[in-house]
Amino acid sequence: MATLRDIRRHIRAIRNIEQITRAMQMVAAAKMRRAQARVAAGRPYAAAMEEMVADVAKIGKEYRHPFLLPREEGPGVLILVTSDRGLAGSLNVNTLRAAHSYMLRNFGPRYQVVALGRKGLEFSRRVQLQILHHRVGISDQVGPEELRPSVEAAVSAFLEGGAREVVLAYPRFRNLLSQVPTVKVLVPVPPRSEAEGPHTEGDYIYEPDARAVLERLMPAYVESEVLHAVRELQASFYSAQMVAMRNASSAAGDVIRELSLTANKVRQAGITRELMEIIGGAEALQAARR
Amino acid sequence: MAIRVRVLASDQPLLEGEADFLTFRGADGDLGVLPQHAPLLTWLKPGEVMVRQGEGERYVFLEGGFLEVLPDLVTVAAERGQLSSALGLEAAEEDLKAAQDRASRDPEGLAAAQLLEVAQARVAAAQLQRRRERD
Repeated sequence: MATLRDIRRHIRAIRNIEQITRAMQMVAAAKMRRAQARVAAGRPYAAAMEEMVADVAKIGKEYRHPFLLPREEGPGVLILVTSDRGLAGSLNVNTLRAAHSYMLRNFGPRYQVVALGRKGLEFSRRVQLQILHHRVGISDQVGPEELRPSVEAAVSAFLEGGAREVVLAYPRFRNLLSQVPTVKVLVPVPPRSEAEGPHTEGDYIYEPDARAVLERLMPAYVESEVLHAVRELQASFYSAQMVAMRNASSAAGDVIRELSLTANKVRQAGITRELMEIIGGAEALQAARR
Repeated sequence: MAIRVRVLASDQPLLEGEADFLTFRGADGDLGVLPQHAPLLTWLKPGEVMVRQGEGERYVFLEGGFLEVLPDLVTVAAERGQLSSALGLEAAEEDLKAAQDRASRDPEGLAAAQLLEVAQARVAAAQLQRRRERD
């Protein structure tokens, strides 16, 4: 049986932990609001770039960029977007699991990785993937320039390295409680059904010419997707962290309540025992006197 | 007869709505688009996009980007841009000075040259904006 001192020390320790988790919860909540605003403001641009490229895949005939041509062979490249730090529940685990199982199914265990974020990097090292490029410490106000070297690594693995597919994996932010692990093929550009996209006869007019425009548009499309995925991750991460810390704080509160109860019982038992000893002693004295 | 137009920067939507006419700086020079235009795809030089609807004209400054014309929709997407009304001439001129400094130190640099082109276009757009505000 624990002594009263042990229990009180335990309560103090948990109270300290609770203070930390509460502080982390507040910080995450503040960052989450900003990250949510950024992800919402950036979504239309990313969606528009995706649509533009899908339109080109559908109606552009004059020049077929390599990004528009399916490939039969070659390794897979995974752009893996995870957070640097943990304490965010199962956020990264879910993303890694979804991404890894897709890549295993399509490319076997020796696929290539562009790791954005420490958790994905550590995972890639652990399962011994070929790491083409990695980046940790991406800022919360991420802009296109910051991600350009990472995007270039993935694009050149496709254009020069003969990769079959470039795949992007990240947790999509839905709401505070729901972040959806998302795995999507960026390159070659996935074809759309007949019903979707523009209904138009004939090709675009290109300026300056088809090849020059597409050679700029295609990498810009990958860039916009990766930038947006990082913003989705950031909103997801701070949400998941906030919820995890809120749960931790409330669990700490529960433990403290339970321990206080035990402490009180132990204290009460001690008092009762002492009283009984005193009474017992007094009665023994009286008996001796008679 | 109008056409739907959306102008989007990577960090915020800038403009969305119906238009009777729009102009922009395409890869081969300035272009104008009316409703029923043939499909078109071009990159943009740094500069302004003008969107006219009825009597109203709205201006957006973009640092580049892409423009796609479809029968029912014009999409303009650029990494960076802002409404011309949010441009400050003084800030733009300061930027230009910094870009000129950098370009003179690194006359071969591609990035420096691009930065300079953007900065020049921004000053030109800010000047036009100031003139419009005066009229």
